[in-house]
Amino acid sequence: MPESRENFPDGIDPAWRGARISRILIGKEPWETRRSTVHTKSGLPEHHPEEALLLDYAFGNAAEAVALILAIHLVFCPRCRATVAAMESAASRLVEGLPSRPMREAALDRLLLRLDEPEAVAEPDAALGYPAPLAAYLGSGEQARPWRKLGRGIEQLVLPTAPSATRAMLLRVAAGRRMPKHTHRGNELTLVLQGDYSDQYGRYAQGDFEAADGSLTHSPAIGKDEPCVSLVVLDAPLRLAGALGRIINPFVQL
Amino acid sequence: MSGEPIILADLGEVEPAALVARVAEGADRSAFAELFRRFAPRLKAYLMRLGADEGGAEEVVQEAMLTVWRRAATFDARQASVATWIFTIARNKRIDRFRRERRPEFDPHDPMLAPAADPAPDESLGAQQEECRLAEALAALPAEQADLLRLAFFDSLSHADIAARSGLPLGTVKSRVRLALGRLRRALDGS
Ligand SMILES: [Zn+2]
Repeated sequence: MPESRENFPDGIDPAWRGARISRILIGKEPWETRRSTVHTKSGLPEHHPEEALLLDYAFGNAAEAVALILAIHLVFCPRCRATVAAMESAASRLVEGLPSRPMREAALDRLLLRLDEPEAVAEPDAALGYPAPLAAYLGSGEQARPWRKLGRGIEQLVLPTAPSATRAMLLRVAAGRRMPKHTHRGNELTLVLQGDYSDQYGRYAQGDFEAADGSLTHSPAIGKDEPCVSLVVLDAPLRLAGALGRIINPFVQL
Repeated sequence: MSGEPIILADLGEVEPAALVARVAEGADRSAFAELFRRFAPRLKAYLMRLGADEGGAEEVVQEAMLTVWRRAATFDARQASVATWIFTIARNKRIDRFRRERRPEFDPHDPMLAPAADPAPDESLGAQQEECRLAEALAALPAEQADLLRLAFFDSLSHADIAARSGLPLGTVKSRVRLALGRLRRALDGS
């Protein structure tokens, strides 16, 4: 990974706790029919989150939107699952090193009385055809969350994570588009769910993860064969002026 | 049948994974009670160390152990030790309760899950054995790496929080995490 992506410049909210938009996807093609679900491709991801982010996840310190994007990467990536498992084992050892705290009297008796309680009602139906961690946020049928057309081949679906500066959204961009050159004010995490895009760092396809910060300028191109659906997590507002600013206004409402 | 008297057998010598199996296969309350005795005080210590008051910690432990009872059949001894499995449940309950956030978690039974390559049978360590090696590697970490893991864990700080508070460059924090992880993974790979 190039050095510029390793070191976040000063002045950026250090925590990955907030969200904003990710990529500005603009093109010239007419609106395309999109697919409604994610299709599994063969092959494992080639672009992975850094260990430090996986540690945040394993230790329970990642903001919800960040935990979501990492959980979905884990669906596609046995290698990072193994890393997280090792971190969880390490966390468990740290717990075992603490002096234990006896439970209050009768705590066990009270719990034994609860074992036959029915479970609380399950969450509303999850959407089918998406990785499980994501499906839980999409709902299905009447409760399905709507996609919003932003124009120029871009659709957006904001996911209902807990209120925080860090938010998550799906972006669906028509095949063959190219995003204008842009930079980011904050940090941006992207995970490809379907289709692919390419920038100067490589080609990103299903399961691939990319982290970008304010130092990165790029102009990702969507693959020619199908729309690209990605999950994007942002932690800082975009501030762009002029025509481009109008285009991304919908994002800024986040 | 919550009123049914419970005869709690002495299971002090039984392996944790066998206790979970008894819960999964036979809804064995004695086995569950033994798991509670062994693990609940550790979970309580964890939650209080991370800032919960005693009442809140006890409630989260209750929720976590109730999930152990209900989800015992999903425990997979090839993936994790019982201690680690129970820790992850408590970690997620803590996030629900104290941060009021959902905890997205991948589902090992997700049809979309990309399978891991199966290791040759004699190459794969049991989860228990893996954790012994991991404990050794953890104890042998250089102080700066060990301190960083402790800070992240016990003070609930993300790596970016740690950089901001300690004044260390973010790149330094990341590289220490990477080095620590490298050591832990090499210990697990047996090399
Ligand atoms: Zn990965």
